[in-house]
Amino acid sequence: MRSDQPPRIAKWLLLHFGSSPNNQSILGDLDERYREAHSHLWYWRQTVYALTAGLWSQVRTQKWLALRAIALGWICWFLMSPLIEGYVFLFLKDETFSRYNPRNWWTLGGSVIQYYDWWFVLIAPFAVSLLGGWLVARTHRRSQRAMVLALFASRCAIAIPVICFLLIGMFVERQYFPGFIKLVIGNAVTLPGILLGGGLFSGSPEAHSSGRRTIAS
Amino acid sequence: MTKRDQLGIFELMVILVLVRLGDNAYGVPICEELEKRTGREAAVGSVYAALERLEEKGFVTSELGEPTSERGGRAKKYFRVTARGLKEVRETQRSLVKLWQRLPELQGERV
Repeated sequence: MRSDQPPRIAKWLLLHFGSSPNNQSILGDLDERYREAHSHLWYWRQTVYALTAGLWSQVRTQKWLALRAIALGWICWFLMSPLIEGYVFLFLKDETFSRYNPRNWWTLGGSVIQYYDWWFVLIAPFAVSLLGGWLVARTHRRSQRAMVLALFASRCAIAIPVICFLLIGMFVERQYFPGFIKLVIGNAVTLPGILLGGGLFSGSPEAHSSGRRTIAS
Repeated sequence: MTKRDQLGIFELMVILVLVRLGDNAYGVPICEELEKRTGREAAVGSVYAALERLEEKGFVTSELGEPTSERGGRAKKYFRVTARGLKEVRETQRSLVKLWQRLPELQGERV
């Protein structure tokens, strides 16, 4: 039986990640049309179109701003990653500290993942991506949501082909397995980190709406 | 006129629907009219992206209506074609008609 309420996840996605200046009107129109007997699948399809069309429209009209946001995010990544990873790695290698940590946390595909690997795989990428997202959001307040999403999309564009390449390689050579898992976990924390740092999960979604004024006739 | 100010096919379709709808042109009737006239599903997000471009070019103005409960408390956004928009539609029509004339491949066919 068809529910009166539109799919909650789709609605949540559009509410938080819709970058069109008319996002609230889009949500209202979709609610109204959904109640006119459209299906869950229709709502999902419309949500995907609205997310992609909204982001594309914003990036297209503000190309240089989007390029600057992406460059800023990646520069932050390249500068901060070695810094954070390097210092904490030295700290983790310290014998006093290591006494309180299990040497081998997890054995995977014959490869032992050391405790300090978790720093590289999980914590450092998350911290750096959080910082990158935050920096982009702070420096692009006018189109905060679209610019953070542009950085997110650029990260996906790099990560997805690498993951696919390693996935194929894994079937040929088992030795790729730990690397693949690390990469997947690393990206699983990096990508939400960008969005979290960019403030897309928290606060009032309306606050992210563009400041474009409507022109009263 | 710069290339940026010209109307794309989808933008032209949206602006024609706005002219047709008059004062009641907000997202839902615009999509319904587009679907009725073209026979294809209209994506609300794409329609708004086109409307944003048209508004930026100065061909359309918008105005917020009152929030309603059936829309989850969200206001309707009404769109209206400006004089500049109407002029642009007429120019586009003239150009298209000129392009259409004397094309033997397209004569004798009714769509």
